[in-house]
Parts: sequence; C-alpha cells; structure tokens
Amino acid sequence: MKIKDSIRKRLIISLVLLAIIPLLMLGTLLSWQSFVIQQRQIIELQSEKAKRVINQIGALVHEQEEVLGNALKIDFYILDVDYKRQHHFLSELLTLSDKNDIRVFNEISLLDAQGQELARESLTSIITPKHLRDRSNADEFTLPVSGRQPFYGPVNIDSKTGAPHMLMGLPIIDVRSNTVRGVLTAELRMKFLWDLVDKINVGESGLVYIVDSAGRVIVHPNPSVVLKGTYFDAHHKPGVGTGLNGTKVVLTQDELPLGSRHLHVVTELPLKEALKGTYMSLLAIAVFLVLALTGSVLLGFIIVRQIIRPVEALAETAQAITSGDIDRRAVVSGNDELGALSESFNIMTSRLAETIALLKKQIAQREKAEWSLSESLREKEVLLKEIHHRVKNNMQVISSLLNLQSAQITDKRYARLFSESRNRITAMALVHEKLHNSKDLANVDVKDYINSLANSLFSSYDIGPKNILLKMSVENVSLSIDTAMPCGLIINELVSNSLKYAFPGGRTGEINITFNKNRAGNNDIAYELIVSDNGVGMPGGLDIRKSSSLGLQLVINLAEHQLQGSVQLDRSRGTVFNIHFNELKYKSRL
Amino acid sequence: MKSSAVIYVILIPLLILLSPLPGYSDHTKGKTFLAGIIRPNARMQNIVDGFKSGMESYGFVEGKNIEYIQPDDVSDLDAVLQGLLTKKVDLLFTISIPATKKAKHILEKSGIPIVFGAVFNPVEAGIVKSLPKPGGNITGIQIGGSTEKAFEWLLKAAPKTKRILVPYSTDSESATMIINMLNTVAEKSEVEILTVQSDTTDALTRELAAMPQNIDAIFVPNSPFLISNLDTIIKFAIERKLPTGSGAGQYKNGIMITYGQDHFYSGKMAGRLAKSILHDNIPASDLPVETTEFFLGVNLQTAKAIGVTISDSILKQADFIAR
Repeated sequence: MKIKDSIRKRLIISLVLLAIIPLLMLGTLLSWQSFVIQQRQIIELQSEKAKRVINQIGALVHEQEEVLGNALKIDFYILDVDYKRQHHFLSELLTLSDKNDIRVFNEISLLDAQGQELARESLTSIITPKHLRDRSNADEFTLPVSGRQPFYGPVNIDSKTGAPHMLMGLPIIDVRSNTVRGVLTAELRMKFLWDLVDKINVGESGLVYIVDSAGRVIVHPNPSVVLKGTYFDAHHKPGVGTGLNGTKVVLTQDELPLGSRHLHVVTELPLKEALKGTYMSLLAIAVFLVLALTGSVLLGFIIVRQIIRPVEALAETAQAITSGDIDRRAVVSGNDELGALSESFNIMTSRLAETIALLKKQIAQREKAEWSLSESLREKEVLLKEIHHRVKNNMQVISSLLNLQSAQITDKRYARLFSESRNRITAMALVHEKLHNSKDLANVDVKDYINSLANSLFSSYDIGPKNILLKMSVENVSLSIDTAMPCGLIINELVSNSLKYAFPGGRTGEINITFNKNRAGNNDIAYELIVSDNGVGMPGGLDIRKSSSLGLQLVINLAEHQLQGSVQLDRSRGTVFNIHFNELKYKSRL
Repeated sequence: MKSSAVIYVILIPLLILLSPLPGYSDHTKGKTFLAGIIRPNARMQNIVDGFKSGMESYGFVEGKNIEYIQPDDVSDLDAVLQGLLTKKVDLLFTISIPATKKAKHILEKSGIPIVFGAVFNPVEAGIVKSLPKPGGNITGIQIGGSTEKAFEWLLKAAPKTKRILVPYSTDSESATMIINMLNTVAEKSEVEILTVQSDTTDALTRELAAMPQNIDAIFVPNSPFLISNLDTIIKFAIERKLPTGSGAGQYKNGIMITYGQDHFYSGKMAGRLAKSILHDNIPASDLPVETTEFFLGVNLQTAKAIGVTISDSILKQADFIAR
C-alpha cells in the first residue's frame, strides 16, 4: 500500500504549527515589545537629560541676569552718576566672563526712565557720548518698564562674526518709590553656552543644541554649525527623527523659558547608538529564539529518529511481509513501547511464519491424502466399472447358456420360459452395461436404457416395427441402479407381455412406453411409468395381483414392494399399466 | 542530520542577526596623518603650540597618529610649500595673510585642506569668500575686530595720550586695513595718530629713532614684521617712556596693554577645525571661519619700566597680567 500521508509529514507540519511558528511569533512579539519599551526608555532618559540641560542652561543664563541685577543693587545710584562712572560701570560688567574666559556680554547699555541711552559699552567698538541712541520705542526698554520683569529679546546674528547674541533688558527699580527708573540692556553672547553643551554627554556620540524661535541653531558643540547658519525644525515630538546632519536619531526637544521667550533645547542620539542596547536585547532574544528553534528542530529530529523511523521501518517490514517476505523482521530499537511493539511484531511474524509453515505442511498432507483418495476412487471406479462389465458379461454368459440350453428344449413352453428368463437377465445385464458406460457408474440414463431394453425385447421376439410399433416418450432422467434395475425388469415384463399376448395372430399395433418425472409433495422426486399397448387387452377377469403369471407377479412385487410404488391397470383401450414410484433412497452400504 | 548541519542551523541565523549590528568604523583608525605648518616667525610659536594642543585634545597625538612638518626657515615660501606638496601632507596649518594666500595659491588644485590660525579679516584679504561659507579648500580663525577696542584700552591706560605713533609694514594687506580703521578710531577718540611705514628692521629702527618728541604712545598693529621686531619697538618705547598698546595680543612680549587674540587660544580653535577636516571628514569649505576671542592683557613690567601706573579698574578687567 502506498502511504500518502506519512507520519513524518504530519509530524513536521505539527512541529511547524505547534513549535516553530509559535516560537517565531513569540520571538517577533518579544522583539517588538523589547524594541518599543527600550525605545520609550531611551526617549524618557533623553528627555530627562534634556530637562537637566535646560535647568543647567537656564541657571547659567539666569546667573548672568543675577550678576547684572546684583551689580545694579550694589551700584544702585548708577543712574545718578556722571557718564564716566557709568561708562566704567558698564566696562566692568562687559569684562564678565565664564569659566573658560569667554566674555558673556557683547554690548551693555544703560537707559534712563525715558529710554535714552546714558552710556554704552561694546566688546569691539568704541562708544562715545555722541554715539548714544534713543531706545524709548525698543522692546528691550518698553517691555521691562511695563512688565517690571527681565526681558529676553530675539537672537540676533553678529554681522562681523556670525555669532548669535540675545538681547536682555533688566528694569532698574527704585526701592524707595518702587518705580522703574531705567533699564540695563545687555547683548548676551550665546557663545558662552557652546562650551557648556560641548561638555554635556548624550550617550557616546549624542549632542545637545539650542534652537531659537526662528529655528536657527544658536548653541551647538560644534561652532561651525552655528556660524554657517543652520536651521532645524525643533517642533518635533520625542522619538525617532532626522537629526541635523540628516541621519536617523532619537530626538527630544524641550522649551527653555527665558522671560516671555522660549528657546528649544534639542538632544540627539544617533539611532544606531540609541538602539545598541535594543540590538543586544534583540540579539539575546534572537539567540534564545535560534536556540529554541534549534531545540525544536533537534526535538523533531530526535522524534523522527526515535519514533518515526522505527514506525516507518515497522511499516516497511509489515509491507515486505505482506508482499511475501515472511522472513523479514523489524529492527528492535530501544526498550520503549516502540521497541516492545517491534518485538511483539517480530514474535507475531514468527508465529505467523510457523502457522503458515504448519498450514503448508497440512495442505501438502491433505493434498497427498486427496491424491491417494482420488487414486483410490479412480481405482474403485475402474474396479466398479470392471465389476459392472463382468456382471454384464457374466449375465450375457448366463443368457447365452440359457439360450444354448433352450435350444435343446423341444417343448416350446419350456423354451419360452428359458427365453423369458434370458430376457430378464438381459434386462438386468443391460443395466450393468449402461452403468459401465455411464460417467459416474451410479446412475443409468433411463431413456437410453429403455430404448435399448425395448429394442432388445423386440429383437428377442423377432418382431419388427411393421408389426408392432414401439413409441417412447421418456424424459431425460437418470436412475440409480437400485431403482433402474426393478424399473427395467418391470418394463421387460410388461413389454414382453404385450409382445407375447397383445397382438395375436400377427395383428399389428403399437406399444407405448412413457416415463415422466414429477415433483412429489414432500419434495421427493416421483416417477410415472406407463406401458401400454392397443392390443387385444388382458382377460376380463384377470386380477393382476392374484395372477399366477410370474411376469405379473414380478411387476407387482417389484413396483409395490421393491419400489414401494403403485400399479394401476387400465383395460379400457388395450392394456395400460400405470406405475408410480419414488426414487429409492438406500443407505450407503459401505 | 549530520552534526555540521546542526552547526549551520545555529550559526547562520546568528551571523544574519549579528550582521546588522551597528559598527563604529573610524577611517582615522590606524592612520598616521601628516600636517604641514607654516609659521612666519618664532614669536607666533604660541599659535602652533595651541594648534598642536587642540589637536591633541581631539586625539591627534604628535608622534602617534600625526606628524608635523614645520620648516624653521620660511623665507622661500614657494619652495617650502612645494616641499610640503611633494610630501603630500594631509593638512596645512598657516599663520598670517601672506603665508595663507601663498599656500592657497600653490595648493589650490592639490586637494590639501588649509587651516589658517590667525588672519586679520580673511574676507577682505581675499582668502575666503565669506565667513559662513569660506569656499575653496580653506578655513580658519580670523583675528580682526579687536583693534578699535585695543586702541581704546591704550587710551584708558594712558588717558593723557593725544598723539600716537603707529608703525606699519606692507608685508601684509592687514596693515592698510588697520591703518584705515585706526584713522577712524582716532577721530572717534579725538586723538591724533602718526603712521610710519617700515618694511625692514633698519627702517623701523630709523623711524623709531626719528620719532617726534610729542608722541605720547605707540600702537603696534597686527603685522608679522612688527611682531618679529617687537623688541626694537619695546626698547624705544621704554627709552622714551611711551606706553604701548596693540590688538595683536603681544603683552607677553613686552607690549604694555593689549586687547586681542591669545595666540594659544586661537591655535587651539584652529585645532578643532583641523580635527573636523581630518576626523569628521568635513571639507574645509564647509567649515565657517571662526572669530577668535579677545583678551585684555597687561604687562606690568613694561608699564613699570615706562613709568605708567595701570589703574586697578583696568587690572580688575584684565584677562592676563604679566608681572
């Protein structure tokens, strides 16, 4: 039988469906979750960092504001002194520098309550009284005056150096009258923050920079980025985005409030670096996944090796045995159930082989016995045939002897007795002859037998068809010797009787022999034998059962006793003997 | 299944997984760079030192992964530059306008980037197209912008000054620019300046010797020639008890009060630009020219020798004081 759906195939499909696919799905899910969680953590960490940076930068900027404020507190009279002292005051403020000796302010001005510059000092230019301006309409004056709060203006770019400056304005409030008496303005050099952001580490290669409200980068660890006028859209949600140099980065941005103005502090961490930990996690998951998959494959391999292969081998062995290779045995591998199954299979196969061998032996013996029986039967048939032949011959010898003997008898009455006896012997011999020639040596073809018997009788009495016509209506039936023999003797007596007495004086006529086969009520076969002639008929007072005629006595005895049948005589039109009987059922004599 | 097949089953997915891991390749790793340095005179060595220091702070350690070729004699600048070109230096560091312009001309088609360390107004000097986008294969540090305030500081230190001698040399285009600026500043400050051209030491000596008696101070413009002859100028100044000022930041070399670049600081800034070129692979043309910081320097020894008392206010504001 060809196996269409092998266990191996189904097992592999099951392994794929139950182990590999779930493992891959689990791995993908874990990887994705790990990626999402770690990315969120990175963004959160970076946001925290950005907040710290904002605090640092805010503190540093406000420190400068505080320095100016403290200077104003110390020199609270500065609006009331002469130009020279005011100039000197501003000059000293202008020399303020950070830890790296970078000047914090580019230019400082002192404005009175009307917004007129009283003094101005610059890092690069000489400012004389005639250079002083009216700034009463400028934001750096009006807003601190009206708001009484420090003012932070937009970031301006120095045309000579490209460096960004942020304008500040501090209201000078008279503590006695609580009125604004003037404003101190200062151009804050954003450069002093460059070094600060350069020292802030965001990962290994990340960076922090500040973007103004117009999107221009004003603080960056690399001054070139600022000086070349780089712009960046800082309105970006924390997450993965495109960094300043066009590469993928993890971005965070937060606002640095300076007065009513906001700067944007942006942190960037290259995506490759940010995801380094994620990659490691993914790698760990992947390694686990690969190991699990390998384990699954190995498990499948072991199952195939330990279960499927023995099962396949067992199936192959079974198929081989089915094909006739009865000596084939399954390989017994291991002490498990499959081993036990293989062993049991082998035992079963061995027993089957033994049984087959035994059966073969028995069949051979039976065939031999049948052959012997057949030989014996054939011998017996031959013997039986020979017996029938010998009996027939012997009867013919007896008939011949009687014929020879009758030739010496002159008395016709005795001669007729001899002749009648010879006819009876012939009738009996004819049965044996027919049996001898029959196929089964047991049954006699009735039609053939009656025909031969009648012809023999016509010949015996030397009567031809011109005188008496013989008509026969005999079905094709066979009778056993036990039935055929008395039946033949009855026909012999009745036909002989018709030939002898029915047509006296050379009368012509006809003799009819009818033999029919009927079904009896008890399913037995019933036969009907009618022997009739259209001759002169039997004497009127003759009782066939009390007749002294040997022939009629034989007919009655044979029909009613031996055949257990019935005899009816109809003398209305000639002589009609109607005999009914059943097939005799004799028990085997052997 | 064979054992080799099992190994492949494990190794191949691992290799596939490992392959996309981020790698941090560094094209500078294992390479030793060669940088040429053109320094017009020994008094500018501080810029070179600052440059090397800056380079070292970015991982370019001399003798380890960078070698410097710094010819002592640069009188034949063409030959020196040709020599550096032949040696195929990875970068050239120059100081002064003449050296930078010559280097730019000779190395123009060589692909060798140039970083200048201290150039007065490189746009006007024709070295770069603009500060944010210098163009060519050149960038560096400009030192212009301090002259006006340096002049003011001299006046603050010597408030009675009315006439100032300004020697200058034609060795550099900056001289003309500075003189023009000083004329404006002098007018703004209501002082008079007397300019004298000197292109040789002898000429300078003669001019200083012939200096009018009503000169109250000497202002030294940024000029390689003048800086290399500072000793002569200082000598005459002390002899004549004349305060000296400069925008070239030479207080250490005897000028009484300076407001300008610190050579070491400028050199260090140039080092960062060189690092961007060599390490970050950024073309010099994409690196904006940076402006150096200005520092107030006071030489008390010179002041004392001249007999000038530097006010506490100035000393308080000074970034550097040479005592």
